[in-house]
Amino acid sequence: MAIKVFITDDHYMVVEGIRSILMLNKNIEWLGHAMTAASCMAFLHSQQPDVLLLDINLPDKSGIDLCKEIKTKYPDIQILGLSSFNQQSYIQKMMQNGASGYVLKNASIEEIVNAIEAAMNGELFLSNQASIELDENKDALIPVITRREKEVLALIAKGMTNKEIADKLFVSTTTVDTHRKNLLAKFQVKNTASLISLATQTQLLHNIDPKFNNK
Amino acid sequence: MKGNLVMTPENQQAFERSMDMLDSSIRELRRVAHNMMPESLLRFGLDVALKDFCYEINQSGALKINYLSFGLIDVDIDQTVSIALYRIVQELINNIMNHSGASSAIVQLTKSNDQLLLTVEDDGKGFDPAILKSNKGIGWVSIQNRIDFLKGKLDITSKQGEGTSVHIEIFI
Repeated sequence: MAIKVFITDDHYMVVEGIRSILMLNKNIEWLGHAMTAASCMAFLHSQQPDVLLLDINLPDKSGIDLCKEIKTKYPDIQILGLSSFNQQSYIQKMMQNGASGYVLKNASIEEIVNAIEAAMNGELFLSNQASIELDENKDALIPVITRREKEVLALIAKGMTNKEIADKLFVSTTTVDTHRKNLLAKFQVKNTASLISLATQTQLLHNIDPKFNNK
Repeated sequence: MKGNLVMTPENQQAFERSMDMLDSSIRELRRVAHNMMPESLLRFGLDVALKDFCYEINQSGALKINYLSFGLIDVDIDQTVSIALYRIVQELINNIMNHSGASSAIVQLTKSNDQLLLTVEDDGKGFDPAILKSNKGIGWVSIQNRIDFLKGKLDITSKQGEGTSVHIEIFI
């Protein structure tokens, strides 16, 4: 059975371009297009596609919000984000709002067809370039901490209070407290004692640059 | 396109070259427009915009930036503050790339209570912050102006050969 595809995009050239590509594929049935979020919702009310290609930018609503709305109302529709923005935040929001994939408008014919088929099979699909964007670095075993945080950490380890640290570093106690909270968050610990013990284990306390300590 | 038009090979070459130039002009324009006012800043706020900004620099390979943020989930930061801080980070990162010779940097933004704390740090060659008193470049002047406008505090810690840490505190 052919995959029923519908597109919502306010650029006629994009709609026409994708339509002419997909018409060549016998496995795809073209249901039509909408140019606004409102007309898209009106169409879905009467008929639902298997796969919806959805632009990120629509004149009356953001495609990111519309995606969520459609997935809530019609969970069976698989949505593919369609955009010329190759930016992490857009891709991530779209996926968070239930999209099955994200295709860039400079994608090849194969990519678009593959994306539609993958979405139909309930798989996630990202354009080649889009998936590179999402591939975040995950080397977070030893947390990244700033020099100022290292200083604060060393002074905490010496048993100094927020007030004492603040005076030594010429900052306010609020700021010291912020650094302290960030350190707890970065080491994922609940209190200062575990912070010091973990910092010692990861040898961060030994690597503290002494020059920065003697202000 | 090629199939539908009668073109001499030279013309076709010129045509393709023109298309290439047009493509690169479009890319350039997008890049310029993006730097003027990144859409993600208006749309998703400071945290996401900074994350994107650092990510793009990382992708370019010019500098490895670690972007970290705390206490900013679902927090709305006033647009004036957002734009100012975004510009400051852009300027500081430009400085790092142009002058410090650093290979990596940290950009960290924290909100706690009414305080926003921005740290930008690099592992470059450092400089003597005292020279800024007598000889400020236009970049530092604009950073200082933006901070003054927000009634914030600027603190630069740097020494020759030991990298630079810039701390900015703003109460919102």
